[in-house]
Amino acid sequence: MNTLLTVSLVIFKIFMNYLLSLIIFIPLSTLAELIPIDDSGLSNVDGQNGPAIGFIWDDVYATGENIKLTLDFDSGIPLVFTDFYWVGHDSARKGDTVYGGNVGSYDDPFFLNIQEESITLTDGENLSRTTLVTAFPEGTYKGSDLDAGKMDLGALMTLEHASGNTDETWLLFNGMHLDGTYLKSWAPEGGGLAMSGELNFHADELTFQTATVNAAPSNNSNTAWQITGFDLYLPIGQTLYQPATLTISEEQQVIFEIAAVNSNTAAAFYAAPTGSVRAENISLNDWNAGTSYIEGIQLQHLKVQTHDLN
Amino acid sequence: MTLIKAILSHSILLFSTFIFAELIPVNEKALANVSGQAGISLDTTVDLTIGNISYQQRPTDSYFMLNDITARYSYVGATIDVTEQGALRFGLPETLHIDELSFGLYNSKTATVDVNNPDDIQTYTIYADTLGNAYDGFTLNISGTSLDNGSTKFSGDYVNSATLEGNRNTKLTIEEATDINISLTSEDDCSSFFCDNAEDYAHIVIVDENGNIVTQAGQSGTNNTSLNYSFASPINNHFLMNVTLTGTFKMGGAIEMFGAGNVAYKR
Repeated sequence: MNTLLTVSLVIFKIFMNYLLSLIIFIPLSTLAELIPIDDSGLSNVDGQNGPAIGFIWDDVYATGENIKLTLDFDSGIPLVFTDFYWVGHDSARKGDTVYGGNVGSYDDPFFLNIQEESITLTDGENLSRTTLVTAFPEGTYKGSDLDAGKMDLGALMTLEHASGNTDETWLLFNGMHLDGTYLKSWAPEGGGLAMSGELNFHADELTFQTATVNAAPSNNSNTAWQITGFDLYLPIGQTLYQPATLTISEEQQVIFEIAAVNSNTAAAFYAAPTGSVRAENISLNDWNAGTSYIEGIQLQHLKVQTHDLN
Repeated sequence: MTLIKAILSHSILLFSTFIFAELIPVNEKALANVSGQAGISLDTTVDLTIGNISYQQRPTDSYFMLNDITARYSYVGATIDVTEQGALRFGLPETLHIDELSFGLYNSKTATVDVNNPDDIQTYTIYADTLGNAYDGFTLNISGTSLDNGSTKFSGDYVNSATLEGNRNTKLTIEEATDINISLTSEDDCSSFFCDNAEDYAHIVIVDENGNIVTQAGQSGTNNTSLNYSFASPINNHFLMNVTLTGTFKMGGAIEMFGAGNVAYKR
């Protein structure tokens, strides 16, 4: 009986030691067994973009006083901006009491993060890429009418002539936002900077107002070109199969290129959203040019290269 | 002895533990005397110059470069705080005064010379001017490189011309950064009565391909002159534009930064 009890106790001790060992080592084993999710596994992940750094603009405004921004292209005629403001929407513009505007929220912020994505092309080639993502808030995406997040932005450009006359051009963006705009960037193998993104610009009112200010004020001439209800949605390149690249050539010229579509990438390209421009009302001084929509914009290939002017 | 050391060392260790154990929380009464503040406020004056900031496009040798950067500005009323949500909140300054914010934007290449690219090679013309009489001559000695004809010496008769075009000259092509020493000696090779022995002028002028005078040395009243010049490597800087900003901004509001967790991403 004692022998049986002793054997039982030994078995119990062995079992308990085994159990204790399991309790101690299982967590270590569990950690050791972490396996990175492969591309195929990741391709099933949808709607998550990983941890990010978020930013929000809370009640932000900036108005300039005696501002002078000069862009001198060595052509003898510098481009001079002499006024600037960025204020909350409908805040009586610059000059009066202004209040700030907001961009983003804790739930839908402007954010930065790292993203990996992959795709399988027509010939079965699997592409994957890791990018740095910079994104404005989602908002309601494409033509939001929400006042939250809208801002007024204005800049005065001045061109001074030798005659003493001055050309002034006001660029006014009233009730604008960039919700849904994002930019992904990475370093391509061939050098330079590669990127893709979407520009989603909305303005309740766009005004380009020019004036020639002569010595005699009564001779001033004014022209105002105004667009209300302006929306621009433009995909720029695509991360996996149509990157946009910014490079410098051996001749030191800047080249911006959106890669050409080919038979292997055409299916994915034509399945992607297309760009659009919408202007609900266009007017030039008293002349009303009506409404204009441009839909289905797709850039199959774009190459822009600078050249020196001799 | 070993036992004493062991006891002593254990005592130190244990005593250390007791020291930590003796930390006493500050009570409410003591805390009542502590005043706090919400964040910090910043007023800043900056006077900064930076030679250049460049971005190299690897694997090629081209650069984007911001050159001669000047930043002179001051601001008051900026704040840094932490919100109840745990976000870092940067309050914009009430006033941002910019005395000068300026830079030049260039793209450029490194000093590697492509001998097949004419833009990479710079040719200079060295003019020697002695303004002596008909019996005078001159010798120009160069160290640090050689002339295009392979020589390090250039000799000639007197020159009596007020213009560079009329002067004796030789060519010097630069393919890499080089320190060059040039000396000019005007020589009086006449001792007759008819010579005035007026070794009174030695002048060196170096002109670039565009006709601009790069450097010069010597003057009237000197028989000899020398010139030390460091020829820059033929980096091709392409000027794009200069940007200058001055003025004052009245500002308000804040920008908050926080960990956004897993951001829902529809695109």
